[in-house]
Amino acid sequence: MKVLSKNSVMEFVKKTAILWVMIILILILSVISPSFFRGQNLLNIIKQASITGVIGVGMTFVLITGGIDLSVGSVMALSGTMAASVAVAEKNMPIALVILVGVGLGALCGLINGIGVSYIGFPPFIMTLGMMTIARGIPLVFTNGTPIFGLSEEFNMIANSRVLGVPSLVIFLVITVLAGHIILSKTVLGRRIYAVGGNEDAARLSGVSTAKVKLFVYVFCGILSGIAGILICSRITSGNGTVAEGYEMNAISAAVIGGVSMTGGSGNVLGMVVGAMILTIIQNSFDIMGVNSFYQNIIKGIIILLAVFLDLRGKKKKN
Amino acid sequence: MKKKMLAVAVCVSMCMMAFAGCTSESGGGSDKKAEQTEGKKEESGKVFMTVSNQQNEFMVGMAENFKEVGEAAGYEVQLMDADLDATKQVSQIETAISENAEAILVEPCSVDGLTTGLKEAHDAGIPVFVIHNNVSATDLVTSLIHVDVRQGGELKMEQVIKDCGEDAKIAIMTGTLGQDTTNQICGGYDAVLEKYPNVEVVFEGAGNWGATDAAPLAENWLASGKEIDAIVCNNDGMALGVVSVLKSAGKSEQIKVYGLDATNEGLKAVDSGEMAATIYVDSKAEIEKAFEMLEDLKAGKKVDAEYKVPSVLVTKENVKEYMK
Repeated sequence: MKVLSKNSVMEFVKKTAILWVMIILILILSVISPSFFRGQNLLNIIKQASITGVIGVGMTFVLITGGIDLSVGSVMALSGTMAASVAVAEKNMPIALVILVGVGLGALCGLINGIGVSYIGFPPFIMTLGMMTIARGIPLVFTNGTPIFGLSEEFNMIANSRVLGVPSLVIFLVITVLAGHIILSKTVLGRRIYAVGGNEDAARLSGVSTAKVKLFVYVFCGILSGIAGILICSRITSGNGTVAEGYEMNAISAAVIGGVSMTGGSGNVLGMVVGAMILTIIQNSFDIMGVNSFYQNIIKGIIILLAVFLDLRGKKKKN
Repeated sequence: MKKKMLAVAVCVSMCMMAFAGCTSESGGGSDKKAEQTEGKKEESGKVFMTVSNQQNEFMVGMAENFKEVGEAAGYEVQLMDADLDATKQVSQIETAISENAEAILVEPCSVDGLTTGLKEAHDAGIPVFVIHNNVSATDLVTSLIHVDVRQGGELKMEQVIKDCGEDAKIAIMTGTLGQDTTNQICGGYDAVLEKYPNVEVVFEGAGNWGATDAAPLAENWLASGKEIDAIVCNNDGMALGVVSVLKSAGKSEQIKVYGLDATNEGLKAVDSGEMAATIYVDSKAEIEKAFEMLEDLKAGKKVDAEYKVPSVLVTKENVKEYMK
């Protein structure tokens, strides 16, 4: 009995290693800079991690199938900018329609990615690289490079309001993460997603429609990119074709730090959220401490490598 | 096994420390005391500045000026770099607010994108000085302080026409499209070009403020084989990229290059004749004005909602005055 509980503690610590890394990081930073550990600042951090977290959920799904989606940042720009331009097209434009346009465009991009990967046979890297470039170009052409502003109060409220004192961005994060976590851990679809990433041939032979599963993850990732696009444009109260440049890399970094394997088959959404938090904590604390932002890149890179190193070592031991 | 147990013990103790940290920070009288002393410390004043980027000499120079001027005025200064991401800049303004900043200087990377952060600062009663670029939410900021780059654009284009004639064939390399500084400078160009209908604008393209994008763009222009008398760039960073392209193409003699900002490297290039002219943009004067206004505010005086620092044309004749 005693041995069993010890083992389960070990297992728990191992499973949640990245969480402890974050807690230790928070502790160290709180000592170095007392103003870091303040309620408002901690809330700021969660808020600032929200957008990365939302796209990170979609990215986690794609990565677990062994794929990758490089188009996330561009699809955000496309969805957000087009939603913004619909929002200003007419007075009293219903906000539901605006959201539908943004999310719909995201879903469409995801659908094209999914068809390209599942049914045509493009490698995910190539397919989404193409989509990344296309989806970046469209809003720039459409707006001729100039930002759209004068958005309605309703639109700006999406990311900048509070519900019972909680910033709306955080609510979006929580809902997305919960949904993602439930799909992955509690549904048949979730098990199939892991199966496709673990061993695609085996999954196919056991009757899983691997093409459909892959199509789903790209569409899901596209939808979340669409939502994130609306969020980012709402947060900066303007639509701009240049927003979210490089955000796909933030999402990939968050997922990888959180233990999602680039070769597919393992990882989960909760780890990714911790990864996103760690990235934001570095940014936030360096800003507070006045460390040159160039160092942030170096530290981020080291943390990514370190996280994957721990992951690799853990796997070797298991085998 | 022992090792493993040790590892567990370490982890558990760390976790306990974490919770201990949480509880002692989040409640109790000692916490309040700590905050009060902190509050007192902050009265001596911490001024934050968030800049759009640190990717060229001019912006690095502005950051240095901020630190120098701020410290000389007796403030603790802290610089943040938004890396050309408006979302990040909003977050940085929020960070400064939660740090009870005495004032926030913002060199915005977006005209319309920062409203959320500016509103929060406004609601928190923290003075915000917008430096160098504009924002649309002017009612939320204390003052806009910027060099009159539109006038700089006019001065420069006048010089281009003086150098290359009223039927010059010119290429215009702009900063990032949609940015206010780009629009301002190009507005200055346009105002002059309207007066000279025979000047032909052969190319117009965005070099995004740096040599990285400027060099390939200039190469492509040269490759077109079209005749160009002058390449007029929105800043020195791009102009220097163009200079190196012209050098390697052996066209330095035929094509004149114009910049803006008067960075050290830009001034050297004007001095050596590689660049025909630049515009002196005094970022130090902008920062000094911001701290001057902050003092005025503390003394209960009102400050202007906008202040323009005049710009100056720098050619080979007067370049020595500006070189350090």
